[in-house]
Amino acid sequence: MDRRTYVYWPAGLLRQCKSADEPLVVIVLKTSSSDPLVIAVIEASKYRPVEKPYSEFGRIYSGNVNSIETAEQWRAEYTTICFDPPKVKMMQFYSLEPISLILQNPFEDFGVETTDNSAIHDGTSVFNIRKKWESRLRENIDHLNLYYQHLEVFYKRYAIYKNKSTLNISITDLKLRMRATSVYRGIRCLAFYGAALIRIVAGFVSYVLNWRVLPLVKLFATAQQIDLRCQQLCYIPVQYLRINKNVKLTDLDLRTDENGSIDENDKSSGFTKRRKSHLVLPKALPCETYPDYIRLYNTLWLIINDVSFGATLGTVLYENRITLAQNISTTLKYLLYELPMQVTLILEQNPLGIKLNDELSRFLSSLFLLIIEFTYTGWIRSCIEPETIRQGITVMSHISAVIGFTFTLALAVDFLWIMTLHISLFYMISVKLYHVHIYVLKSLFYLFYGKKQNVLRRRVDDMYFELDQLLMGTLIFTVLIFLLPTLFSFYLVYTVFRFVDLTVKVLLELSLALINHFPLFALLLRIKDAKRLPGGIKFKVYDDHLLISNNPISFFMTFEPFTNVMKSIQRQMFSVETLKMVSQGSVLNVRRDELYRVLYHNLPRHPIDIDLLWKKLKMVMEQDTI
Amino acid sequence: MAAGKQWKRLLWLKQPFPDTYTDPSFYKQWEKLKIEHGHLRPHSSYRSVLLDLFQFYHMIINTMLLYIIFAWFYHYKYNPILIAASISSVSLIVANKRVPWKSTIIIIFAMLTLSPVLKSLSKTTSSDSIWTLSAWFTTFYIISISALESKILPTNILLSNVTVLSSRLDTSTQVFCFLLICIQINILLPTMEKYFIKNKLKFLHILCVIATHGTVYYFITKLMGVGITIPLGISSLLLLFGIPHYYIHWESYYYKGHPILQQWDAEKPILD
Repeated sequence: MDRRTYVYWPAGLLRQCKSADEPLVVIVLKTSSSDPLVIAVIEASKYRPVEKPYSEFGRIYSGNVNSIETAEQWRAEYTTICFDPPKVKMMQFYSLEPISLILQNPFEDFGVETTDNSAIHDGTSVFNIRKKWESRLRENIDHLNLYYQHLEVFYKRYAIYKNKSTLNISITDLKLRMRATSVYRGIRCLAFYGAALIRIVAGFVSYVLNWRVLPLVKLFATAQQIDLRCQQLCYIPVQYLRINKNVKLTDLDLRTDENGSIDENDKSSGFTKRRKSHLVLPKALPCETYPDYIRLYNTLWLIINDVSFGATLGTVLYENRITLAQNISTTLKYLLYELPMQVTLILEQNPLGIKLNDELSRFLSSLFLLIIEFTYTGWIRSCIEPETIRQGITVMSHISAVIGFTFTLALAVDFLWIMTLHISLFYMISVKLYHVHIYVLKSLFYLFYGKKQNVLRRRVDDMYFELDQLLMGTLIFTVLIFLLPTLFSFYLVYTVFRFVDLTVKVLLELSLALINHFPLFALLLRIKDAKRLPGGIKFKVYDDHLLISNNPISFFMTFEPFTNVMKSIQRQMFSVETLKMVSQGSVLNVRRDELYRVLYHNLPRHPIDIDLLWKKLKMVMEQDTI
Repeated sequence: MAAGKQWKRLLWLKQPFPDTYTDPSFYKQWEKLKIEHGHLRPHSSYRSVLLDLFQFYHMIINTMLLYIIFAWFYHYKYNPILIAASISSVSLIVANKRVPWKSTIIIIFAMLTLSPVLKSLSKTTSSDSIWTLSAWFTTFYIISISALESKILPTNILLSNVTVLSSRLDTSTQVFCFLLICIQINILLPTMEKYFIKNKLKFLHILCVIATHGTVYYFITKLMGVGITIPLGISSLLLLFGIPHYYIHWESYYYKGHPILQQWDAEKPILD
């Protein structure tokens, strides 16, 4: 077998070799499915033969790594690959695929294009092919990741080679002692019951809000915000258990699939004990908990951020509440009452020299003016008064100091939605009228030529019409043709209104989503310690050896859900398709819940079963007391 | 005369003669053809062309009737109901079996309903654009009725024309009557004429034709004075009798498919 062998050298050992004088023995660890990994370098004088799976690789005589006198079994062409061993305690590791910061969605059914530089979005087929081809590399990477643990096991087995005194000052002792105190136990008990209680209450609220008959979540942004918080609260204990206690909790019935497991060798089931027996080689890193770690702390940090934002902004709002209320009141009055009224009146009087049909325009204007007056005296006037707004601002500032800024933002979104109901109503009326108009016009146009549209066969056929049908059809066609410009101008004006309305709403909701799901933790992690966010590996070629290093996730990829949402919005609102829809009279709408489903990626579809949670928590508590 | 073959007066045929060859029997061939085919009258007879042209002329006159009625209402402001009632009674007598009564009732009621709408339809449009529109509609009507097979499109164009014109009228009654009369005239008049032709009532047919033409010319006289009518009449007569000559001349000398003229070319051009 002429396969080229690669030998993996830790960078520190390489340096140590270069600076040593006396001859050194190189000890490697090799399993059946991986390439040799240099574990330790020992002075020749102290060397005693080692057993499987360790073996002697060769001897270095003059500090020159390249001229290793290899032992018999290793006579082959080998290439040195240098690497920096990842510190497991700091959660660094190498990975062939990028770590997934969000729970992935296997059923991408809302047409959002995914970026193509992420291998994780591929279906299982590419992943399987990759697995087959790179399995050897994968094994090697696994071994690299566990370097320090391998070293520990080696030292346990051959204690004579241990030259560093590992000062493991009994942090563990301290921990044990702390755990014995009754204060700690009391707190833990409280936390246990608290977690269960929160799960019950939050789960119930979430269930009510998502009730299938009347899903408040889809209608109100406030309901969605509350639902999000409740689900996060339910999920936090689960994440905590997974990370800290290594409890295996599968996310049953996932809203999305979890694709964080990079090591398929992970056979940890039920309880994996942290301390591994010193005779058994460590198998794999608990890599699948790292994304959970990132997600959990991201959520917690965002919630704390939210509350602090809310407190700051709340005080700002409270201090300026009077002027703010006045300004908001006048602006809203202008935008919601005076502007539509003025525009409608202008339309009635032949704007821009366009000749509109008098009676129709008068009819439509009076219709819309009636609706405006009705809504204004109905609820808008009382809601827009400065006094009411001032009180509202006071309440909102108090709430935001306690619950968080997102809640106030959600409330503002809902308030705006209710305030602009009449504009939506105008739009709906005009769009329906226009649509019917266009449809009838098209049909009668075919009649003009003596043809009829055959819907079943999707083509236009000749048809014999009776005389009265023809005459009636032509009369109505002429009438409708003359009325088209009038209707179209009204329709256009209200479409513009609707468009502006939608844009404002979308912007607000996007900022809400940004505050809720900003990948803060991942970004800062990327800045602080890029080795904890592996996005693949890089090979650097030197003269005599290769260097393997981590290729961290780019900043762009961390914002991926947002770019997807933006693309989707852009397609729904600002594309050529929108123009087509406008000319055909289809309703302009932004599918809100589908867009924001993208951002719910970090949560499972249903909160965890209460029984299961209770059982696991109890298990953990009992284990701790032992 | 190098080859034994006879030179043929055909293009694109490879003949074993040089390019500049002139056959001596060239002129003789041509004379022979002329004598052979000369006695045929390849063109159509003068009479048939005249009759066809007259039919076309008649149709234009019938179309002008529409404008006469419009002018009655718009310019002279005659009482619409009187005229409508008289013409409706005539049409009832003539077409009592041909047009189903259900359609009539529906149409009448529809027109009654839509008359006010039609009246105010394009009030803000200036009159000039309405006249232009109407002129174009008339052109399209004439073209479509002569060129197309179906009767649907011309009818619809006519109706659009009438609708557009009716927006200039003053009262809804006028609109309704105008619509009614125009439909009756333009649908019932041809029906009547077809009936006459089928039953070989030649005298009645000629009477009808003269009546319509006479009405139109009388009205032109009344509206625009004799000074317009006479030149119009003379020029239309000239055109009526002159165009068939021109047509026959064209057919004799320029129309492809002609036996003599066809002798110039081979059936299929052989391009090398």
